[in-house]
Amino acid sequence: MLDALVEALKGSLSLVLPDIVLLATVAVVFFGAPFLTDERGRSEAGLRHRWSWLALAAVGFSGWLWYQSTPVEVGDGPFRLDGLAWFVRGLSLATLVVLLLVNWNQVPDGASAESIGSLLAIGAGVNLIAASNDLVYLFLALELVSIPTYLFLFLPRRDAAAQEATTKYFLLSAFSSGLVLFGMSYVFGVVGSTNLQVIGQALAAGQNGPLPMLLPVAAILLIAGLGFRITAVPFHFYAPDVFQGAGTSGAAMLSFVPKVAGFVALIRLLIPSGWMGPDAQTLANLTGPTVWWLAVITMFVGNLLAILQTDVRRLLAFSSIAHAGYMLVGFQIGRETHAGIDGIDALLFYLTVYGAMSLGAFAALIATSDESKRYETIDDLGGLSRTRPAVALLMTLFLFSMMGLPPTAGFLAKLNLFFAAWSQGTESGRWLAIFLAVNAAIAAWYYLRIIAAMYLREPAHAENRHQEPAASVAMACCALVVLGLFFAPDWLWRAISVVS
Amino acid sequence: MDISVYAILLYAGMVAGFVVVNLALTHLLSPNKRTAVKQMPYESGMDPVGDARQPFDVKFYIVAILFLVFDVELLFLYPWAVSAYIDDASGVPAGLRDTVFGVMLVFMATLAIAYVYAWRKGVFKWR
Repeated sequence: MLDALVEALKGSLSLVLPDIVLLATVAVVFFGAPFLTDERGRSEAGLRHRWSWLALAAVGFSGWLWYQSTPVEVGDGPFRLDGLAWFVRGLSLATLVVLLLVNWNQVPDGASAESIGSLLAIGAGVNLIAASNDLVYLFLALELVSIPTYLFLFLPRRDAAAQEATTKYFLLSAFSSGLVLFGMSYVFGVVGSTNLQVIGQALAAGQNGPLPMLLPVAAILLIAGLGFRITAVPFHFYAPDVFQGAGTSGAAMLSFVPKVAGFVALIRLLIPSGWMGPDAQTLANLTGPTVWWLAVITMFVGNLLAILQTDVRRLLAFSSIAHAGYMLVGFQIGRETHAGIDGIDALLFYLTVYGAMSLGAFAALIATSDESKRYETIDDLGGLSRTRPAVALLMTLFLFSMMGLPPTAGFLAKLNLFFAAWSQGTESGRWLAIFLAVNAAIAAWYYLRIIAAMYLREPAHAENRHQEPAASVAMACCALVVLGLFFAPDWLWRAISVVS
Repeated sequence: MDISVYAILLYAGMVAGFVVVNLALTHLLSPNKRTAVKQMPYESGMDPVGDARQPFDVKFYIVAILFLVFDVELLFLYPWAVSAYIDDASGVPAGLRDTVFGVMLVFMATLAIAYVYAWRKGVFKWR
């Protein structure tokens, strides 16, 4: 028993090798940074390019290690490399590349090391959330995402709005971490182990009696705590202010990475194979309706409030809330569909596509305007098709994808969720599918408003020579994914099929 | 009474004696100039008279956070040092000792990087 544990611990290091590469780079960046800047945060010009290239190289090496790895059987060790961990790691590394490009010119040279180091730490945290096989490691990985996020949000802009946004996010994120930890402590209290594998087995065996009442409480606390991360209504209220106040690269990161973290943690904690058996049915009877209502309210609130917005970043914040609602539909359906598409698979497909279109839209905002005099409102984007035709065209592509129109991957992603909900065969599933379709129609209204402003109005700003090569490359990559996954979705389905 | 209890009593006595002797020595040996500032109650450099609800200088927080680095380091090193090379069930398993030693080195290196970062950023200059 002890020898097996020793072997498991020793072997588990090789499971997180790509993440160790990222974290080692973070250590190098933070060690080198203070020697290259003086105490007032000044440094020679162009330092940010060097740090960004170093970070890209690290992500590349990490990606090579990821490509070499294959999922292995889950053991008793602290880490696991199953299909979900493998898939999320690939997704997160690709996201890191795009975010590094988006962030390239957003931070002054003196603060670039801290910003890039935080970004790499966030990426490693997302990987470790998926790779952890233990409640303790899962919580530490969640914090490895949130703590660098505070820094990353604050560094690009230091005005009053950015300070307010960062403080707001800090307080609410700390609060939600407390809820998650509280829920985990109840799980530990009921089962007596922090190992997810052991917890799964214990719950599958069933206690042959009434469910310990603490378990539903734990599930609700976990859903609430992680609901903050995925901006599910009613835990969404910080998102619009933070998106508006923080720098554009911070908003881009916030629109996607916490959602990956939150959904992966939710899948890990609430849909592992262990939540089968006699206890699971009692639990599902309670959490199922909760998540159902959460999904419906999140979709409607996000879309209806987005219609009222005039600020582009606030609008994208409410749109990201609505997208969290769509993904919650897949989470609600879960793994138990009898025919058609699996809910979790549809969620992961949507998550990937959402990442490409959301990061692409923010990259487009960065490509249009300087951070010091950036375009804030929809009116600012007026006539963009004439001043910046390429950016306007790609922005339109991303917005079409968010609406769910062909020929973009957003269409397939919504279709998958719809079929997953419809083919579940229950009345509540059908209603969920209908609400999804209704909301997709509502959402078209405010996305079309942006497109109409870009193409039908006179230019709001006569001249626009702002050049942002890195963000343009990021935009092109996202556009490639959004278009490519429409014509060749099998490519992503093959990666997802590793998960289940 | 067990012998270990005497050890605790002896330790408590030494601690109390250390405090008393040092206070007495400072009182007797130190130069005794009574200026207005020196007569004030000591409040870590804050003015003790006036409204207590005033903003603290950020320097205090930075030093406090830096203190935590070493506090946590000790908290983590102490149990390891006690249990690392014990051969019974309470210690680290023999096959794992080298790995754990490596982990501790990485841990201390991480803290050293944080320390160097703070030092280079000028945290230790009381400005």
